Amino acid sequence: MNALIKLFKGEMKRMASYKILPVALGTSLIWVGLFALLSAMESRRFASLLLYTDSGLMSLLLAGAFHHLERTDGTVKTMLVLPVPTGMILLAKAMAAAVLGLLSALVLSLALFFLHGIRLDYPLLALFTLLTAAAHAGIGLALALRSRDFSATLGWVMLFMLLSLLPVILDLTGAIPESLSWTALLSPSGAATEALDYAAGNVSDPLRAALGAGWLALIALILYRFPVLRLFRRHACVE
Amino acid sequence: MTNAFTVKNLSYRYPKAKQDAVAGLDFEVREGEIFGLLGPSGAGKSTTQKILTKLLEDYRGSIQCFGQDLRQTGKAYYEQIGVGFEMPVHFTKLTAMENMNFFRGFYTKGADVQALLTRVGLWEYRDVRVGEYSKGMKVRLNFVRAMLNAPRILFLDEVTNGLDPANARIIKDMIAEFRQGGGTVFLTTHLMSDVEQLCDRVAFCVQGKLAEVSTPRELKLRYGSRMVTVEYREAGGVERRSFPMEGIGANAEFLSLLREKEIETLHSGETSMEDIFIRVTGVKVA
Repeated sequence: MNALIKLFKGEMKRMASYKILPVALGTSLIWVGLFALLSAMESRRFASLLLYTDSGLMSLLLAGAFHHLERTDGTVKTMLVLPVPTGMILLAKAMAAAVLGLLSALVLSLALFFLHGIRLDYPLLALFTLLTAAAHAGIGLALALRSRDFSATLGWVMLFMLLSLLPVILDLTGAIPESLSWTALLSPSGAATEALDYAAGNVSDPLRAALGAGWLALIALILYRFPVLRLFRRHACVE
Repeated sequence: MTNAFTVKNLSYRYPKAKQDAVAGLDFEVREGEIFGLLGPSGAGKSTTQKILTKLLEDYRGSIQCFGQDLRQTGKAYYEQIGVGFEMPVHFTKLTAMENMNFFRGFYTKGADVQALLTRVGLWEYRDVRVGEYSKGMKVRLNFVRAMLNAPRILFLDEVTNGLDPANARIIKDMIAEFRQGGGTVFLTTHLMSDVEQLCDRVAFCVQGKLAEVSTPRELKLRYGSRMVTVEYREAGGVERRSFPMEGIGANAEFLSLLREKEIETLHSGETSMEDIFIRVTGVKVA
């Protein structure tokens, strides 16, 4: 546990040094500015989308970019010769991504409350943000580990966004029949937006929110336990 | 003497590669020695080191570390070893001290960071970001990183590559002191000066296989020409003659030359490790 805390603190320190933390918070502040221009109802509707952008898509992109940066610096190799399990190193990365998402959720929640008096379901919001960030950071890492360099990862990220957001867009526009709208939950974006929408009070189906959250947890578990853990060591060692 | 490593029939193939990077290596590394693994680029040196440091795990063959199967050693293995990579391995946006404090925090026992940084000439630059370091400074910091946990076995890959002679000397002195203190060193390099000055035994790795395993002295005796060359003054110029080392004390011609001529130079025909490297590997030293 002590080693995990050290790894996590290291991740957070590097996120600050590499300006990832300030950039992420800066992005959240842009959303705050947007909330100030919107009505209360519009802000509530947009909240889950912006939360997903920050905790989901940002985590995905940052996890991939950060991995390539650390691989170029050679630091992945030197981390792997520390007396800590590789799984613990990955858990610390997932935790750091989750904290980044939570910070963004905190900024947006405060903005919604002080600008429009909107209260969200904060415990659920925290849980769903955490799961969204951890699952998407896992996806980002898995894509990075399948790529030779950051450019290739970007290509995979674009493809993921297209495939993952498409069911959500089709569902929103009514292109998917009501009886089949649950299929949008199969995409990580669909699962995350459903859960975050529930926490923001935009939808009222707890079962769908729970399914979305459960699916995100399963995605994170499967990705970290299998492809990421298996490829992380090998990817670091092959020149 | 105990073996730090006993390697038998070690092979490894990278994913998607058509042939093994190392193919059937057999060697031992004795406790308290500096063992040099030499060879041209792509010979399998770094792959062997990555296997011994458990960075590459799906190898074939067997490796015993102090009598224990390497596959059965847990993360505690990393408490015993220090790894100096060829390329710099530090967080470039953090200072040297931040890097060292971070890594050191994971080990149960630690070396004196100040003493190590002072010795390699980096203490006064400890609060400078590693990204602002020169290549030589990063190489020295790599060495400090490897020594952070006061390891029992030290793995060093091209440890003096990119260093000026003075700093290379410091690192080599520290390696020799580590050995004198009972430590074992596994050195991979293509720099023959490092080998001559440091290694107790060497192995030549060529195309994934070991061509020779011996001491530098034995190799020199085996591959050397064992001649004595004399340069002496003769009729206003300098003449040179060579004599076989065998029976040199009874060689009348050699002895009369020493007695009667003005000797300019006298050299034994010892072959350098560089010559041996070229003969064994068939590759010219870069």
